[in-house]
Amino acid sequence: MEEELAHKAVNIALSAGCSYSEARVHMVQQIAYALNNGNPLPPSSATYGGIGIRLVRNGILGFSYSNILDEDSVKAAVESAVKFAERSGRALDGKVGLSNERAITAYWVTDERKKFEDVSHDDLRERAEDYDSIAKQENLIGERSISVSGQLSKVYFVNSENTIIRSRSSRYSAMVILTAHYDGQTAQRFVQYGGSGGPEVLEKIATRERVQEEVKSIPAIIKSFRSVEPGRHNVVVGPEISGIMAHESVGHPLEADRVIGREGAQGGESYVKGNERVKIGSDQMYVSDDPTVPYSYGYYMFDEEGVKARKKRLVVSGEVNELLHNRETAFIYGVKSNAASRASAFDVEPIIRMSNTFIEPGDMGMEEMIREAKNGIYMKSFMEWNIDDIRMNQRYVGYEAYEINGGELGQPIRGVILETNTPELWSRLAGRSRDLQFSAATCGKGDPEQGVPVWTGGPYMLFNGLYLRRR
Amino acid sequence: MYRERARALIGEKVDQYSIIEHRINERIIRFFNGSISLAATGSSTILHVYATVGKKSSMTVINSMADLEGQLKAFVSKINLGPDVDVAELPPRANYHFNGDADEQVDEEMMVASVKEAIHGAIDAGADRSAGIIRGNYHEIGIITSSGNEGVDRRTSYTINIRAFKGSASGSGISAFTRASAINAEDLGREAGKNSAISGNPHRLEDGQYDVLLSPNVSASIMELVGASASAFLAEIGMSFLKGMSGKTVTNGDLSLIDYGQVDGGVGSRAFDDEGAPTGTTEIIKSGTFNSYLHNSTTAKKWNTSTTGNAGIIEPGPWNLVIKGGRSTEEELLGSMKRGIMVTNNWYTRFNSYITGEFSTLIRDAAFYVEDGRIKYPVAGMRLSDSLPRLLQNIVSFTETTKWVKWWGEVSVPVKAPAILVSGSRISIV
Repeated sequence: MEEELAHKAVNIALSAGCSYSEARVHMVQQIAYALNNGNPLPPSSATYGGIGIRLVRNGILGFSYSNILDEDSVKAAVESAVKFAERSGRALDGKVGLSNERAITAYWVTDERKKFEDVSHDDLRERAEDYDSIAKQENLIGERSISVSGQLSKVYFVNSENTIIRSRSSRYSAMVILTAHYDGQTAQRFVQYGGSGGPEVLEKIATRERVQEEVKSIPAIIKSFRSVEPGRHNVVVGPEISGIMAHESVGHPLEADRVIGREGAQGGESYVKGNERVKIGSDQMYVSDDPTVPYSYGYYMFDEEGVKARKKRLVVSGEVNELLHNRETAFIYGVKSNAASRASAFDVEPIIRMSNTFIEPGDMGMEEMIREAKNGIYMKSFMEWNIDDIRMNQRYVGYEAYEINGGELGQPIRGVILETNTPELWSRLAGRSRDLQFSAATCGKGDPEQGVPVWTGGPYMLFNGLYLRRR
Repeated sequence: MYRERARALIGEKVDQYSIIEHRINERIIRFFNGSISLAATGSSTILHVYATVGKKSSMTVINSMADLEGQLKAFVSKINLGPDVDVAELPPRANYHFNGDADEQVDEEMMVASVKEAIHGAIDAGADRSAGIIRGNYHEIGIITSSGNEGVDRRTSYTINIRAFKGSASGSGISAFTRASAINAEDLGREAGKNSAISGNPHRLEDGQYDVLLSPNVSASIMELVGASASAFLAEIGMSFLKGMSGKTVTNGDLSLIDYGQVDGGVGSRAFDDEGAPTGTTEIIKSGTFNSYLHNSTTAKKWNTSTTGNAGIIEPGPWNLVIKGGRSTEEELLGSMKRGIMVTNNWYTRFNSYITGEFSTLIRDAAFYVEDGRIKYPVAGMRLSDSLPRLLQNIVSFTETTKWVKWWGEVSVPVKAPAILVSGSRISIV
């Protein structure tokens, strides 16, 4: 029934004179369980979805959605999109074209040992209570907020070029927020874990050990009274910071819709202009985005335009190698889409997004890196971060950080600020470890805002002589 | 109406319920570099259902109405399987007073005309290109609760965000309206265009403490954070710097920060909250003193007080924030600055700790170095790094005139904000 409606929507749009049309029936189920300071909140669930229809009419990209899946509503949605596209064309021209892509019929799924339909609040409750019991063991922790959630998305996509993609993907995530107090000082930590598959994926990515590690680190962090001497230091960063750097300083600015200015009034533009193969870092810099990483939070096999997903090598040896494209920007650049188009729900247009963005691992060991840094700072994790809207001026404030003295880890320190610009940062990259670890995040972009699940990741990285400040 | 069907399906099976039905009809036009990038329309209906049985409660969201009966049956059957939670009585029956603008037909012609006017304004004021969005939205909210409350709230809203560029310099025009006829797109385009045209070739300052003159765009961003921090729920979990601050002086004695459930021009207006309590007026900060948290029934019960009509079933939050008490003009604020920075916009605010309020935010768009009360030259590459408690204490003065601000990324709750002069804020430069 719903699939039939999607085909009808495509045909109605073509009959109305559109040069292209697509329909996406996107249904979502969610389940969540949360504890605040050990007290359960009302368990929640959601079942929502509908149809999103995209079309091209006289070069204007039109979009419409409806949650009512009957013929009249779908017809009205298409007609509304066509009419509004025509009316908007009176203000300005539209220049939208789409790259030529192969017609595909496919079905993809995420592996679920336990199906979403069989997951109950009790399954999530056990896990949340387990994390909470770990956090409770540390007396310095005053406030705790812990949530565990799951989501199942079922999508049926069809376009006027005979591509049909069905998918069933499930994801789970856990969020742990801890606030500790000691002698007038506070330390606050947010950590998110997430992956795709059944709830068993949490056993891989949100282990008791990872939560215990966070809890155990708190006394040393909060009791530390030392900070960094402002100036240039050799800096080793952990995978969590490598990941956020890859995402913010490389992934976002290499989204082609930002490069062409489409996001100018929202997330902004980019330090990359046009088709430049600009050099932004040292020969050690390799950054990729790969939606096909198994059980990753940003996993998909086909994007929301029906293009087969593949790994994108964004930066190779310090030089921009490839932008993230959808069919719209690929058309402008005269290339094929590399399947970066994602939509968070039925009621928003698909736009260019990252999936799992990471620094490629290198050949060093972490201890070797500390030895090589000799005297400097190790920043393991962060809380505060931000970056400007062309993705040059960025800041990462250390949460867990240590001195490096004589090639060995020293005392914990607080309030270390790495505030730098993109070429300065990446030109000082001197080494990458063999490790590759990921963190989960929900990336926001677009207007209306769309949050999509991603992994950010990387190895440990060694930078020579970065300027550090302190709070 | 789906909410009445839902009531018929669950009303006799649970102790308490609040059923809210949102009906949305929206139009969006996005544009950049002289062309339309998206013309979007949409309509949807969604039910939010909260129900309690004894000491248990649960909530669900449903918009697939074809199987409403099956979904609600499954929802009700699982409530008893859940944990004991804090359950408060839903607010008693009340009369709702509606005060606002509603037009079910979003004014497409006005939106199209506004896009043209905004772009023309930007180019005419000196920009060489622009990007932006206009959104028109009709939102109908119907409620039925087990305590006898029923009502329908209808609202129209329009938001515009135009960003103009001249070379790498930029400016923004941002505002929100409850009537299509009130949209001043050309003025917003001109504001954006002018700021882009006069902020080219910026200087780089040295790191340090500066007096900062925050435009309404920026002060709205800061005051939204303050208003959100008044949520009792956030205070409970250590996510608010206002925890434990009741009755304490937190800012300039002239300043009051008020949350209005309904206010003229406020696009966040609602006659009732998600529990069915009438929304009201809450003075969060009263003449410089932290006066009131925002509560729903659950937090109010725990804190031994009354709901302020700000539910969220789980989390209370503000509807429309208004800053009052300003006595100055922007010219007077500028004229009083010895050495400082005038900031027209900001973006990407992130906290190092919500409980201490330490944060930083990027200065976006045009900014200017000010010396002896005069603008000297444009500046760029800056980040405001401060804490909310310190920034509030350092408010020197603010304008009597205010402007509604709501925009993507930075101000999600509408704020009627003045320009604010703050002394000694830390600015870092890259």
